[in-house]
Amino acid sequence: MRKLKQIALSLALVSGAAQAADDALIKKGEYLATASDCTACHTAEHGQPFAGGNAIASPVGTIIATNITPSASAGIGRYTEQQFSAALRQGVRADGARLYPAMPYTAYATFTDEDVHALYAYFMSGVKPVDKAPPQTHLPFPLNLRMSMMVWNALFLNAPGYTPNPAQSAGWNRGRYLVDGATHCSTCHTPRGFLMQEKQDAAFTGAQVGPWFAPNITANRVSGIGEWSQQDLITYLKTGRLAGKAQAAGSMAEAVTHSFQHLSEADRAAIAEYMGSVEDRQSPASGTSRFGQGSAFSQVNAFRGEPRSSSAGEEGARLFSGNCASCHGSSGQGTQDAFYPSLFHNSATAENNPSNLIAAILFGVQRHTEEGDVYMPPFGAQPNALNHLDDQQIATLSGWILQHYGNAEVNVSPAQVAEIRRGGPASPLVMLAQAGVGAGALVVIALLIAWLIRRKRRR
Amino acid sequence: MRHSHNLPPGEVHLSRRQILLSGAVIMAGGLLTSALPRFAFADSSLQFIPFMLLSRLLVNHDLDDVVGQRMLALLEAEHSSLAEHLNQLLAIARAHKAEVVEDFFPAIPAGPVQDLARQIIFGWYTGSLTPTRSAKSFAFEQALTWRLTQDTITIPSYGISGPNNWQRANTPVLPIPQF
Amino acid sequence: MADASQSPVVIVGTGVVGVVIAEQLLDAGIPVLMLEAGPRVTRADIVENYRNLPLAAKGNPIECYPSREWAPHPEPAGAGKGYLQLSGPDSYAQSYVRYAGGSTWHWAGTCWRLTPADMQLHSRYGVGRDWAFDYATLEPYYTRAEYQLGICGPDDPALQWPPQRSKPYPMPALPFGPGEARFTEVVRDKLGLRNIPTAQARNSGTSYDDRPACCGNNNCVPVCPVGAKYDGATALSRLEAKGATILDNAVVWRIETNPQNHINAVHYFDKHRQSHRVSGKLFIIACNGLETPKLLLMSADARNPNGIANRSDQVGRNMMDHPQITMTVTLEEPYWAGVGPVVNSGIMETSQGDFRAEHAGAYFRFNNFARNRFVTFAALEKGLVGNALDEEIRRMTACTADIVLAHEILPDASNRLTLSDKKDWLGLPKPAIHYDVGEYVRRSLAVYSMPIAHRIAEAMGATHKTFSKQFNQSKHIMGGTIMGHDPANSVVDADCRAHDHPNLFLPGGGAMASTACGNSTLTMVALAFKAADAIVRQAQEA
Repeated sequence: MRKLKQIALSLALVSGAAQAADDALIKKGEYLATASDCTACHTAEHGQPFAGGNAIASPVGTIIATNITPSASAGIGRYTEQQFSAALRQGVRADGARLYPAMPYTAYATFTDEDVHALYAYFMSGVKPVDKAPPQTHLPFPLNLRMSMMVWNALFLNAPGYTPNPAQSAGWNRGRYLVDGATHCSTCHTPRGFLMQEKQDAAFTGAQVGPWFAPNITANRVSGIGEWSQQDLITYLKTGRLAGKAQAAGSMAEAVTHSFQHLSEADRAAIAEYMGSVEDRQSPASGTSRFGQGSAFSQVNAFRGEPRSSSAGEEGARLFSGNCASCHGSSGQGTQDAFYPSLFHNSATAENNPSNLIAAILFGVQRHTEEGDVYMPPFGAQPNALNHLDDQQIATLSGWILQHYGNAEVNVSPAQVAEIRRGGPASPLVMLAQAGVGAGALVVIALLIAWLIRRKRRR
Repeated sequence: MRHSHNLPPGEVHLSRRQILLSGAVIMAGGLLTSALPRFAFADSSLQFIPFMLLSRLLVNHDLDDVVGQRMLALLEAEHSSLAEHLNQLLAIARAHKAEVVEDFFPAIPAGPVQDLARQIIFGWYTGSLTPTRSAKSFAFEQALTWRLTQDTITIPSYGISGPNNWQRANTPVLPIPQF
Repeated sequence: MADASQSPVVIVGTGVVGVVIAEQLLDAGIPVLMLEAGPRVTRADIVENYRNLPLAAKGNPIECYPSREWAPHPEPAGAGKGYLQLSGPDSYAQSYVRYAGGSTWHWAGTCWRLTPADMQLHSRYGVGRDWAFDYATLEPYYTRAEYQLGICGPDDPALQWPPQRSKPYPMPALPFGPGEARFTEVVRDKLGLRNIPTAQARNSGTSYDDRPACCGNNNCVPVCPVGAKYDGATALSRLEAKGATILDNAVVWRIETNPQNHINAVHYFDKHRQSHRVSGKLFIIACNGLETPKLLLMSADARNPNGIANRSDQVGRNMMDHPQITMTVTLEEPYWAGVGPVVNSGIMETSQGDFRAEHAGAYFRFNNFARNRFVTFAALEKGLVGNALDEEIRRMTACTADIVLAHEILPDASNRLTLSDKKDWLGLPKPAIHYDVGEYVRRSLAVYSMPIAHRIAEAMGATHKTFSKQFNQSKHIMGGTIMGHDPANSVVDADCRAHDHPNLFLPGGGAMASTACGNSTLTMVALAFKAADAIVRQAQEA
């Protein structure tokens, strides 16, 4: 009897310990999933966690994120850990089809086997299964031929895993592991080549992401964030803003909301440590960084008191006054507590690429952090737009803001605004691929006709 | 001397300085007109320089030249003897070696000249020339009444802080903010 | 998109009542056509209109909203000058906005509910009228109204007005500014009165309804520059996205009946004075408590010689508001009104009690408008210059305050709107209103509200106080299409359906049977939801 009790007790202890180990593993997986921001793509607005359905605008078309809950019918419930790893790090689905690199598997390739194991445990046991499949992705021909990704992967995909650099500190290595892997920063911040591959020699020097521009985040003091201290970057990642310098919008705001603010302080510090060592391998211009440009300015003295119908003062100044100044101040100075940021000394108005300014006006800015909700309304065609501004108005307004609060060399045309409104520049890749296929088909047809004619002649 | 936050909008940044009336008019003229932004009214009145000199004596705060130009245009439309009255007031100020309004205001005789002085002060503080709904307005954000209280309350229609962040203890009436 | 002349449901008016009902219908799959007398405008234009006003005009909210000739609303100059023909011992100089979005453009956003007692004046106190239903019936509609507009309010039942609630407020109360905090202290410590946070339609700390949160512009009246305060205009684009057709500059001037005395069409003038006819199955007139009875009276026809929906002869009668007196106090210590929204708190408990058998209740509020525009002219008038002027303006801005005494009023059939013989630009009759606040209110001022005001002034340490010389308007237009069970002495039933015409609804302030002391908008919106449920049922049955 005693022996039975002993066995039962040790079994209980072992399973209790196993349970505890399981829980710890799932928690670790959950943390890694947060760091990887899986939810940004795989959870639709008002949708169930990880049930997919989010339509991701890419330069080659709309890609719909899949259901990665452990549902056997609609999700990844039947995946083995091997298959999970292949999807995550090699871009191969369980049925053998390739994933598009909208899923940043090129980054997640960095994950160690250990971390993949934890992620697998989380997605299998820590996530609620949802038995509803989202719609399929249909990219235009020939990009809908997923096997074309095989060639692409052969050219651009790294082998899985991470090799630490022994010459660097543990913090640096952890930072690099996260940056190259889970937080996949280069996916947005590294410019891409014609075949949409990341250009390694221009790593982190900035890239267009749909309507937004992910800026240069190298440690260069002029082109990047070199003048930030490590604590500055930590603060930015935690809160989504750095007073008097920058604030996160678009996809970065989401990344802060869902991912960066939930990381440990140590991990944020590691990321900052690593990023502090990343050089800008392009040849950046000299001059001021994007954080110190512009100054307080107001033109109200020209038109205040004149009726709206008169044309006193510049149109840009009047647009600014009626639409922006209430939060951003009559001189662009923001509020005293800097909650509504100043528009000068603000990277959003100082980039050479005005996408972020235009996109902020068109789409607004939304972030949810512990500090509170940040909400700038949109000014596009949305039902909740504070004012529906057309392309010409936004071009005029942006131009005025850039001239006085930021980079006066940058111009904005209505056509640029229209492009941002549409979701950003399209890639010629689709058209050219289709043209290429079309040309190829014409060649085949021409050859066929030539062969038929020759056959006829022979007869 | 100037409050570092909530700086007034793009006014010409002339610091409040001692005005030496005997020789300063021409010098000041050069400084002022060259610093006017390009959108300033095309026809700058001849009275602009004396008007701004007098304004800065009557109102001892940073004043915006473009606002002044607009106020002057309204005063000129209203007063046929404006030039004469401006000169009279400047003469009184000079005679008292005035640096601030208290130095010479008691010496201004009652009548049209004192009325003009009061009207100029009224204009800078309220952004209009009369306390009536049909007055022409030429300033709001730059009307001095708001500057006097900008440390504690916002100019209406401009946000004071991030959401729900406006609790604060009662600010004492004195000292008055510098501007 | 609904066909302009064949929409089943026609809503006249795009104020808060009209847009709320429209959205309920659209969500139930029923297309709507909305006719708005005035123009569609942008928020930026209104904000700049305000900033461009001379200081002396900034205190009158209607000045930012110049009316159009075809849709005049009362204003000091322009198309609406001399619009209201007023008579009687008390003025009914109302103000409202005939623009798309309606008068919530310039409301303060205050959203008090009625209390159970407020709805039973007659059975409890022997005065006025009882409502056609009790508070418990209206409560779920209050909840829907609060979640639709986005109301913020306190969690603590001791601070709620009234505490009988089925759901919490959608958002927590806004913080007090220094003046309100001090006011709350002194009335509590010295008078035992509770100054509670105002339930208000303002986004508190979050982007409710996809609109920004309040950032303390202190400009709610006349316009919220950022849309943190709910106003009807914020709903318009969303309604259109849901399929509504909104025609602006369309002044409905006649409601047409058929031989069965159902409504079968409305006629509207466009801005070129061309008349158009719009037929439909169900009609909702939501033009505000003054324009709605005016339209009903204008539409008198052979079948309805006293006006549409007016067999009771109650249309246009029982015009009510909250007669208010403002006490301006000069204080020894700074209070600094002007931090946060313009109305953020109030003493409501003084509106309740058995004394209501004898005289009106009153509610007291510390007005939180920035005081500069109230005090600067007087300081200049004193002949001060230099440092003395600066100190005077600053001191008076910090150390003066307005306390408003807002009274309830009883429905009186001789407080009446009729059609005058003056005509507006379209040739339509200008409204005439005869108004007398009545002994019920005057007695309150004499024996109740004024004495309390004096005690409040004393508690605040006032060194000087002045009072309005006459009762002024709160701009809460009520009673002109009063609700009741008996078609002989009321215009609409418990769903705001006209007794006389089963396919005509008249929701809004005009239906309110009692005013209590608190601002009327939330009750109007609750009635809109109740009417909407009936309208949806009726439309679906048809």
